Amino acid sequence: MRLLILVTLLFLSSFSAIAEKLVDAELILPRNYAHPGQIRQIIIKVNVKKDWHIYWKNPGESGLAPDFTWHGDQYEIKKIHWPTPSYYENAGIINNIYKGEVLFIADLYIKPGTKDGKIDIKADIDFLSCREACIMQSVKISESIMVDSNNRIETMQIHPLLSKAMDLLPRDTSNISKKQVENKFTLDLPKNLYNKSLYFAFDEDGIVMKKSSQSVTKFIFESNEKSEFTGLIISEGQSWRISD
Amino acid sequence: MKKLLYLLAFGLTTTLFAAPAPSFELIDTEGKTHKSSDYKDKIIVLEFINYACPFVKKHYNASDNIPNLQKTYKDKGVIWLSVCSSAKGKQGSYPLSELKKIQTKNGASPSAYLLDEDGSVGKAYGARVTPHIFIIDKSGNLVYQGGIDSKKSTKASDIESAEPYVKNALDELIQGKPVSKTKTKAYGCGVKYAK
Repeated sequence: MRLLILVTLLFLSSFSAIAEKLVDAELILPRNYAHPGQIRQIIIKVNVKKDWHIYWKNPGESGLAPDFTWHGDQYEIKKIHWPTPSYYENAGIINNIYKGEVLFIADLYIKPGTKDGKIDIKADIDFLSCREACIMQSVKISESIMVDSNNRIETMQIHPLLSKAMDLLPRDTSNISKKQVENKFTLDLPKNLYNKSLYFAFDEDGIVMKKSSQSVTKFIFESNEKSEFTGLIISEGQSWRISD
Repeated sequence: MKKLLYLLAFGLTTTLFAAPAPSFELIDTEGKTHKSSDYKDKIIVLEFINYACPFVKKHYNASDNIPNLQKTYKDKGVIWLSVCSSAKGKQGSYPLSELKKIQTKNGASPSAYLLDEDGSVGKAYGARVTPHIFIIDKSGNLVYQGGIDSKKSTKASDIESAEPYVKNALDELIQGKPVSKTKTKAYGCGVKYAK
């Protein structure tokens, strides 16, 4: 009888641990080899539990961006490319978030002088996951890549997941005129954004206050704090980068 | 002399431009009413709180940072009011018996723990996150609003190297100086207001 109770308790505790898993992540290598000095794009595929969300690099008025800690001496992650976030408002608090499947691209740089052979790419990622409640979770990801100093002939074919991840990245814009007077921002829109519902996500500090206005050719908005005029114009799941 | 004039001018400027803090009237967990007018001539800290938020846990369970600040400054005459603006049933809103257990465990010792279930006081102050701190000087002016410190993280190990905004502001006020950083960026979980 005691054994039965113990087994039941163990089952329940393991079930609750599984039930509490709000975020999962895996590392995917579109190509499983690289030569020293090369940069390879790798994918961090994250799945967020239904109804929960995680945050963009500028989380907005609350929340926290995922924190990536990479382990290993033979490589560096030069850059993480963040996919387009979504606007989220709950009880008047505005955030930039991700739901469901999230695909980050990371630029993996194999250090020159790394000897041929397998090396492990490992990271701990801390996620703040929120619904009504907020819970911090840490996920470990790892994968091995073959370092090979011989030049291999490569096909031009792009891994389908990398192609999907690239489609979700902000696009570059050119010839967009912008103006900033203190916390008031004006963008002259390109033709493809005329008459679309728009949102602007600042790269670093600040969020757009509700009182933004939009004509066919201009998007005018104010930030809630001192903000640099860099970030993303977002419309219907796509985004366009506004840089310095 | 020039320095003295500068300090006087700076002090006068910050005093003149500090806005009166919104008045409040809330009940605590014992049913006692606390009004802002009860604390005339006192420095008041309003700490918007949700004990289940990972950012709050960083400063309570994982470090004792806020409990230590509460004890230190209450001993110096500061009134430290923790305010819970979580709507009933949302994260951070607890039945009294559970709240007492949590406070025993996390070491919280505010002057009082106030209930703001309809979120009216939180919204009047513009509290967006937990913890979000507002400091009212002895004249009833809002002289600080923002984060507990400068490092936006949930890691207790970051506290030591962070700029302790609230500690610095309270030290300045107690020494009769103007608060040098009146507004900082608060970080934390969104306040769980009723919709």
